[in-house]
Amino acid sequence: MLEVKGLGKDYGGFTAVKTLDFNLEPGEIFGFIGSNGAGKTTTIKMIASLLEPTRGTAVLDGFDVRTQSIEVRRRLGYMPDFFGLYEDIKVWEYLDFFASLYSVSARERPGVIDTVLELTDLSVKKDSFVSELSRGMQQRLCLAKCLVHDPQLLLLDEPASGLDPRARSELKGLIAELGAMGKTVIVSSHILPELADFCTSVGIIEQGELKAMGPVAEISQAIVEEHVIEIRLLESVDELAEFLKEKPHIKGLEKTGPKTLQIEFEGGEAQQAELLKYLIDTGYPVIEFIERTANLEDVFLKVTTGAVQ
Amino acid sequence: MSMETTRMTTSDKLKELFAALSTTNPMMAEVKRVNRKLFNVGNWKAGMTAGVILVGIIYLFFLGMIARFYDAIEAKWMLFALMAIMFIVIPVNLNGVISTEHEKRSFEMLLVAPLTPSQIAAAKLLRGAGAFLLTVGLLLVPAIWLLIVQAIKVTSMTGYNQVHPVFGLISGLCVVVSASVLSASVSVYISSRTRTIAASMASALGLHFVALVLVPVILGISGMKQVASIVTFPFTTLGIAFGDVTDLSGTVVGPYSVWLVSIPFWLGLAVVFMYMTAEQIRRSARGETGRRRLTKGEGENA
Ligand SMILES: Nc1ncnc2c1ncn2[C@@H]1O[C@H](COP(=O)(O)OP(=O)(O)OP(=O)(O)O)[C@@H](O)[C@H]1O
Ligand SMILES: [Mg+2]
Repeated sequence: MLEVKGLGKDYGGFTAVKTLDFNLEPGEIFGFIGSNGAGKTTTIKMIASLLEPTRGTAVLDGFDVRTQSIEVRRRLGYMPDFFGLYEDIKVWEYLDFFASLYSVSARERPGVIDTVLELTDLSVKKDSFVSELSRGMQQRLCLAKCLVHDPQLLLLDEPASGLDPRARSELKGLIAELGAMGKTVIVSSHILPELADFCTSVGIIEQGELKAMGPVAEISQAIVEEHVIEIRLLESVDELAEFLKEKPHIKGLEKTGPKTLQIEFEGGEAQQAELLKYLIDTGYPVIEFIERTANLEDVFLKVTTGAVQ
Repeated sequence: MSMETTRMTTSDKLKELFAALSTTNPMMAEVKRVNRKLFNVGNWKAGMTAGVILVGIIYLFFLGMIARFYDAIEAKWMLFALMAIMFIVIPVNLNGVISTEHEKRSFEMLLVAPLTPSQIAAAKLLRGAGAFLLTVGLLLVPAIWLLIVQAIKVTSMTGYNQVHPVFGLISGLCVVVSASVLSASVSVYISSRTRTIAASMASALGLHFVALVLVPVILGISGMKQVASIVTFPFTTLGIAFGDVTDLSGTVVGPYSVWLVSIPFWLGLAVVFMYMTAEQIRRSARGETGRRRLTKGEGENA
């Protein structure tokens, strides 16, 4: 659906985005993570046909952003990181304006406007002036604008910035819903945990290079070779700690509480199951035996070097 | 029409420009949007009252002029006045059409819509039409009336060329309108090149002032009256249209037929400026114009 092929951008002699290659399928929600200046906005703008790539291209539904930008634009909704709305008209008029630009017929427009307002939870503000909306509501109106033409690809550049926690979680819900509707969504953010729970895949970009990409769980596993297992017992873990020291696959031990123990485990899942069975068979009163997968934050810090461009 | 927005030939771009002017343009919603913006005033009763009072004052002014100066008024001067007003109203009305979008950061959302740069340029030119026609219409109605009075007066009093005054009147109005179209497209072009409303307003008014007042005056003072008469072409042709072969500086200029050429000349120049506006929008749409100042700052940091 969306194919990004060797996409890159230079500003003068400075390379903002090296060469990106990835494909996204319908229904996929792609989290685009990177620190400030990593190249997220540059990449998104190139896909949105708002920035001429220096090399490579992106193809949406068979249409090339470089040569068929009008067709590409018909199929995408773009929410910039910074934007202003026309403030002196009403919310529904604003949406009506954009619906006309996307050639939604005058007959369909009222229905479309009601639908997108409902999706973005702005129905009550339909007749308010845009200038009367709060920052978060303007953010949602911009998202509503992106939806009037029922696009296949949504490019959301830091859509959650400026939203309160509640609005953030509502936004996540909305994005997940859009994914379920079969749309492809690219969401950029530098707030990492924000993306973990609803993205089907993430890409980590640093200095214009994609350092890792794939489903959240997969890249977490691929990058963090050793697993951390947390064990909680009904009794003190001192004896267990002694007992486990000489066992195979165990690289390190750390008591994190009187009754909890963290081990660095090198084995695979089969060995893990074996260890648990062994503990129970030996008679340890195990309450918890949890593999702590590295979270996105860990992955991010591990993958990137923190170099500032 | 070609779907490509990159690597088009000039003739492709011109074709696109004319298509944008002649075919259905989704961007015409812009005209509606601006009308909404203008007529959505919170207190519409106060707005209406103010409007009615303004219209009344203008009409009273013109009636007073007719009553007082019936014998002295020349249609030519009325047209001059009309054109001078247009050259202020138009830049004031149109200087913000694109620079506002830059300043408020709303332009990207427009650029990412499936529109050709020419469609945006054409709509931006037309969007001022509502407010512009209203202003001009208010002035035009009494002005035309006055001009007709004048034309009839000239015909009946002097008895010279029976057709000429009315013919001159109509052609004079055509010159005013076509010169206004040029003024509008220049204003829109300036708007596309500037990033703040203040800058575009200053440049648009400044350019009109320089081109129509300052340069002719300087040229006139320095003895180059012939050149001055070319620079003040719209005013000059007005004079010619009335069979008056001197321009503002009193120089005798060209034969009577010159004014016929002037209308396509204004409109042609207007198309050139629209083309340049579309080009500028095309460059914005490719990200070639944005964030210049920021880039410089970043370069210093890097
Ligand atoms: N118009 C421009 N001219 C020159 N350099 C630019 C321009 N736009 C962006 N850059 C540079 O390209 C790099 C990537 O910028 P970009 O805006 O894509 O980062 P980002 O990942 O979106 O960062 P942020 O999280 O701060 O939004 C930065 O180093 C930036 O300085
Ligand atoms: Mg950014």
